[in-house]
Amino acid sequence: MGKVRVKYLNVYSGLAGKKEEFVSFDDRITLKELLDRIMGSRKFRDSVLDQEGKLKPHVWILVNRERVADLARELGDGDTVVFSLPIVGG
Amino acid sequence: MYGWGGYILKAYLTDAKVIKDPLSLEFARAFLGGRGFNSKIIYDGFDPSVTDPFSPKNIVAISPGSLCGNTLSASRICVSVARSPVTRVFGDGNLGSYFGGELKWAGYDSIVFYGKAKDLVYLRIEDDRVELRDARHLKGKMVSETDAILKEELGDPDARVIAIGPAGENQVASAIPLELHRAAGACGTGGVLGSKNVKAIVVRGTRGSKIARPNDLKEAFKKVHKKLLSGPHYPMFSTYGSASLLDLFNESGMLPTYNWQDREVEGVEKVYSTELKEKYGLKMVACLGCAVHCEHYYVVKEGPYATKGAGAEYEVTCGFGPRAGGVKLDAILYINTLLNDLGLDVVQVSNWINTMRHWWQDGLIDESDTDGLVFEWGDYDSTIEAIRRLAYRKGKFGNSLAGNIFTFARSIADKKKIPVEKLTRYLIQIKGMTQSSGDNRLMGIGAALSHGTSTRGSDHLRGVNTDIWLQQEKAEDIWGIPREVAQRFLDLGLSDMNRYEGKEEYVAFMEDYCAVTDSLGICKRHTAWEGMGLGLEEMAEYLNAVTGMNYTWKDLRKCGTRIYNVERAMQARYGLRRKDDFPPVRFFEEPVPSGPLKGAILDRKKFDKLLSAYYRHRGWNEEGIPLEETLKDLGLEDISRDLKKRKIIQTKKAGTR
Repeated sequence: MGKVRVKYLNVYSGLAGKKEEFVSFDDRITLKELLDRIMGSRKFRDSVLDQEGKLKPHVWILVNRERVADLARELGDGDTVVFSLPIVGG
Repeated sequence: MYGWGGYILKAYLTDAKVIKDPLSLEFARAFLGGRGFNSKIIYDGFDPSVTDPFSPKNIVAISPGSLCGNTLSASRICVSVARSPVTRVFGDGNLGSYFGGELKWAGYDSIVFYGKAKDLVYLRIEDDRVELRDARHLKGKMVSETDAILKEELGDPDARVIAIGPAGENQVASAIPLELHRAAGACGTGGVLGSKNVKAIVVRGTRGSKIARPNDLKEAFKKVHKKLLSGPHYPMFSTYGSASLLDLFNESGMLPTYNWQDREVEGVEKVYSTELKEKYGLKMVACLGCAVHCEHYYVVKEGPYATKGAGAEYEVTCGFGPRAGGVKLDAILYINTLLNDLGLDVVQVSNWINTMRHWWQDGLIDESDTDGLVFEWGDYDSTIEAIRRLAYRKGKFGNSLAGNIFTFARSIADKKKIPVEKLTRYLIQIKGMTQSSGDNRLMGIGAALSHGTSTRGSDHLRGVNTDIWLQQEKAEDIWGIPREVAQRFLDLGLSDMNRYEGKEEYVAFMEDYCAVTDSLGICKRHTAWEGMGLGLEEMAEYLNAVTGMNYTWKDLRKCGTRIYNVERAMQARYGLRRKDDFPPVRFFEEPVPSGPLKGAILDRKKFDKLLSAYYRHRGWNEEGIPLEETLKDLGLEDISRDLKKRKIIQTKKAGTR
């Protein structure tokens, strides 16, 4: 049994309808499986994944503050996953 | 003449006279407008032996971008000075506005101020009617008061006003002019206007724009608008403004805190953009013709920091938030309104005050140096008091700081009998201009080089702000950059943030690109600089429709190169050299102390090598001075002759000292 904290930054809080949530899992969970569980709306899904189910090039998912592009990445109890856009400009 | 207004206004303040000079088409084609016009006008008109920024011999040029007032999101004006009180060399500031379009509709491409008025004046422009008017009744008025009084007096609520506040009148080094909350930040152009006794410029233009190919413009607009709205960052900026960057910086471990000492500050989520929007945001507001509308109207209804205003960008929420070791958003918004009204620059003032906190922390200053003010981290009341004393030059402390942070540091060093470098090394600055809220150890080597070589001092707006945007697998995903250029960057392996080799090409390209956007008046928030899609190809298409010319994107880039070389030659004329192109010393000596990027630091040897590669790529010598053949290739023979006459220029090949 484990739990991950999911944070939705600015635009993603609008898409997810919340700023953060905690997601529990039994044995193990990958980033892809987490996405399948949390992305309720079509709009949210389309903003994150392309038609082939791959992460769009302008989406940043941070796991414990490090950028992760590999959706097969396994998450651990206590991890923090953040939905963000890449840093630009100023 | 299509596109351009057709005239340059020259205000000779000492003689209380304004003349209209026809704009030369050749000049317009070569320098585009905005920043390009200002740089060349100042190069040609200023005697660099004049060292005092507040001398009547200093020059202020104010030019809207050439696309201003033509439906596209192009609203920016450039305000430049020959001698900046911040950097003591050439400097400028750009502001998004309504003023730029209005000035073009009145028929003008530039206003240049020379000399000094006998008493406080404002410049009134109403199409052909242009006059200097008495502004003594505006003495000491805030920027917003000045705006309201002038509109009422003239009976024209739609007139557009750029004004300085009390800080500009008092010749504070970090003073700037604003159109209400829209600030020509950075190089202290407000104090120079103040030294000339120019309080404001009011403009009303009724002529509209002269468009060469209206149908082409309509098509170009549709295409650009669609691209802009589909940009990956469009929803973020249009809903949360640039304050949203603070959220991103913090979550990725890149947020500078406590004057770049750390990455963390307790309760940082209290200054996230969602808090700003939900607690204090009223609505988003746009500059003229802009689809992005990235500024907040905000109100703090009650409490000691009750205020209302607009803007609230990342630079204020970070500069007076985490970088100041605090997270009181209502106080930060109060400070934002106060700075805008007094006419002070957010970036310089936040850096100056945060550096003093750092000195305080390390026991280098105390109450005896600050007229009793305390500079603890996260103390907002002392910050507000310090800002007031700065703007009004109140007391010994306020007066000394108003001269410049370096003036203040020197006075402390003399008093304590310590080397001034012991204090100035705390400043995150290049060429005297303090830096915005990025970190050159973390934003990529291209960004570090670009901050260093910037022609106006440490600057994220002059070229590369971060290398992150190159982290794509396909060239098509690098928005706003011609495909062939983006592909070359990927082929060179430049998507590696920490790679030094090859970054000179990326930096030179982006510096030219930014010179073009600043000269066309396009907000960088629509461009590759911000990860958005408005690229050089679209800019050329737009400019051609408006002016009837036939620029390609390569022609436009060459204009950018030309403008950059004018500025570089100008700075060389003031004595700036290779040593002035290095990032702050702390970024070479202090590794990032915590977070996922712990240990990151710049390598001086590798940076030095990269600087040489950059100079070679630019066609400059090893001291960073343009070579004769480089200037000739850009049609700048006059500058080449001038530099030769002054024995600055060399004809040796690049790569030689």
